[in-house]
Amino acid sequence: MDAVTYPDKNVTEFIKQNFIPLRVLTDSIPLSTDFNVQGAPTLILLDKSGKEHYRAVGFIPIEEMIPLLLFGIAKTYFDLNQFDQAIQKLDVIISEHPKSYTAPEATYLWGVYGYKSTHDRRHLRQAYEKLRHGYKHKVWTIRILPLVKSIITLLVSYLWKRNYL
Amino acid sequence: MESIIKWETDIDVALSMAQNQQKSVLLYFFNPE
Repeated sequence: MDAVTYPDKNVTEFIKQNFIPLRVLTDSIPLSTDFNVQGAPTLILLDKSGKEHYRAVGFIPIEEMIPLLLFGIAKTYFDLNQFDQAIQKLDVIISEHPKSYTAPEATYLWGVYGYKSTHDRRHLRQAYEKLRHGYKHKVWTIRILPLVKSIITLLVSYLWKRNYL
Repeated sequence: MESIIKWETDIDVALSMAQNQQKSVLLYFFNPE
């Protein structure tokens, strides 16, 4: 992600405006054990007291990074009982990033958070209708693709060295 | 003007900055490429 996603201007600006960015090696002790990190890349959103509210594991492409971070911010607000702010962030995902793979889950949570904050079931119904008509999921295909590519590269290299190719 | 992310490397420093600036911390675990 250092070579592809983070250098993107919009991603950079979004992170600078919304976060204190902290980068550590996956085997950094005690952080990796404290947060039970099993591999890289792993992104974790912490509130200012250091409590975790959201994490994402695997490669995040440029077009998915901002909606994913908005989703994490929304979850943080929700955990802190700041429902209006949470819904506001989910609205941004749904309206400005409708094709992102975060959008379906954002739509789902938009319905749940809306219901929890108002006890109006119409939020759940609206979310259901949006999900029913609007989305097809391909989350893990996108995330796993770079790993698949690297495994194929390793396999081809192995076969080439042993004169199988 | 160049725009790059200035990553902190110490969690205590990052949390202190988060308190002061009222922001969340984006903690990124990575392996060198």
